[in-house]
Amino acid sequence: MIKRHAWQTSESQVTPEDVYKQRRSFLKLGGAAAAGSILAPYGYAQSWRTDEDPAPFEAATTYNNFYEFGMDKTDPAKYAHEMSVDPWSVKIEGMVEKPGSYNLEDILKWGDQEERIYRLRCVEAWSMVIPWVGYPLASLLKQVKPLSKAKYVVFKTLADRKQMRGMRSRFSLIDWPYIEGLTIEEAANPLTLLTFGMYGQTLPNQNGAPVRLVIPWKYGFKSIKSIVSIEFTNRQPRTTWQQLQPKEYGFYANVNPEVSHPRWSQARERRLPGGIFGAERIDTQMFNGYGEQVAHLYKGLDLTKNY
Amino acid sequence: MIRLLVHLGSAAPLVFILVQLLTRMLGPDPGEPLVRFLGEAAVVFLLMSLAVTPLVKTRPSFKRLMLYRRAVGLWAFAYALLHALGFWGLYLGWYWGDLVSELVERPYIVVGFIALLILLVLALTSPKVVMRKLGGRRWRFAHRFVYVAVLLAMVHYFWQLRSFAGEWLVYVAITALLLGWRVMYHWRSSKGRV
Ligand code: HEM
Repeated sequence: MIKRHAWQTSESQVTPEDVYKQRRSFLKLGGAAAAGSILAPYGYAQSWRTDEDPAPFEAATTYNNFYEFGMDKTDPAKYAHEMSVDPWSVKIEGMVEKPGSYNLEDILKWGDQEERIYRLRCVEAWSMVIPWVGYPLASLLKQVKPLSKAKYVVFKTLADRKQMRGMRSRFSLIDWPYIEGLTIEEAANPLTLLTFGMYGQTLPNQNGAPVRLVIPWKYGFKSIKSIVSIEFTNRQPRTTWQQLQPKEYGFYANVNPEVSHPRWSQARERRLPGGIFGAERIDTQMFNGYGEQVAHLYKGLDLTKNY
Repeated sequence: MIRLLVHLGSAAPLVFILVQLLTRMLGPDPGEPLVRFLGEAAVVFLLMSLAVTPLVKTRPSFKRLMLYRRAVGLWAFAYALLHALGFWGLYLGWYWGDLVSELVERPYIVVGFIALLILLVLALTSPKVVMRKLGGRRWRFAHRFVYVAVLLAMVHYFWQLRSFAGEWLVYVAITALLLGWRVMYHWRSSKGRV
């Protein structure tokens, strides 16, 4: 089943890497053969693509922020293999009709897998274009049925010191587990992707295997990785970065070139990968260029205060 | 001969990182590892230059180290300058306007910039000729600002941390040791003179 949306550009405009072309024919699930049979038969449609060139697979999988595995951008690629992602289950908790602990195998079936090529904009003022595979988080919401009083969704990343060496470091300032949150409207927006793969294959561990969020109009740290819990609540959660630097990071964290972060001007971004003279610098777009789909969520909200 | 070795040794980290840059070993965003490496090198050289005096005073046999203090200090400045240039070039794509706004608006960069300006003044006044022109007293006064520079560098370093303070704590401990030693030394010698 091919899903087509008004916003998608024609396929011929996309010039992905050769490797990536070969890989995208179907989802290969690395390692576990049992798991391999789960996604592959589904295949996936391609929808929602930008016509910008995706970053090479190599770049997207060796330059990561995943502090559970270390502070350096190269640490996750080196150490994330120490995390076991099979079996995996996700707790659905809080104000929801069908709470419980669900196996990844079940969750995979709750929506139609699609490929989407999104811009990912990091708060550190760089960005990459990445082809993801997953289904809209809205499909999961339909399945588990949040109660009407649920106003927020809280996500947690796995926190296991044994498997995640970054957590063992004594001078880390972070209080684990990593927590992120969305309003229920943001969670239900068709752009919010519950993601299981990238470049036509299963997510590598450093990119948040086996299941993560991708929220393309928000700074990358909102797109939480390796999710073990999804909780529905009526109170706005305090996310990890808010706890760490309340003045620097807000709950919304929408990409906004006009609101500069104390550490980084957000007016422009480095489009990675870059060469030996640095990366191309491009102007950052409001909502990372996805305003048409999401601006209505923030009507009446002062975005310079609610950053 | 030894002087040559000092310079070669000091240039080695620069060669090391440049080779990695040119062979594309620094990954998709070479600016970040480059700028970080150069900043850390600046701090290390600054601390090495500050370690000379305590070493010489406590171990007279190390007296010859004094001959190379200036070289090490100049390398600290060189690394700091390259660090700032790397930031301008690889982070900001050599945009003037962006550099100016970073230098005045971003608090941790303002602090780093002041530290760099101090190091610049110290580098310019480091040749013997200038020293003689200034006179020992004024020269020593100016060069005490190296303590301000290293403290500002530590603030700058801390301010840009995201979530891990381990290495920073090590550098702060060394800074405290080197500055603390001087306080103690002057306190003792002034008491001794009375
Ligand atoms: C105009 C002057 C300066 C500018 C624009 C500047 C810029 C920066 C930037 C942007 C970072 C953060 C890099 C990142 O987060 O990706 C940084 C980190 C750092 N800077 Fe500077 N800096 C300046 C001066 C200095 C000076 C004078 C020193 C030391 C003497 C210094 C030492 C450091 C250190 C140690 C770090 C941390 C490196 C690490 O993470 O290992 N900087 N600087």
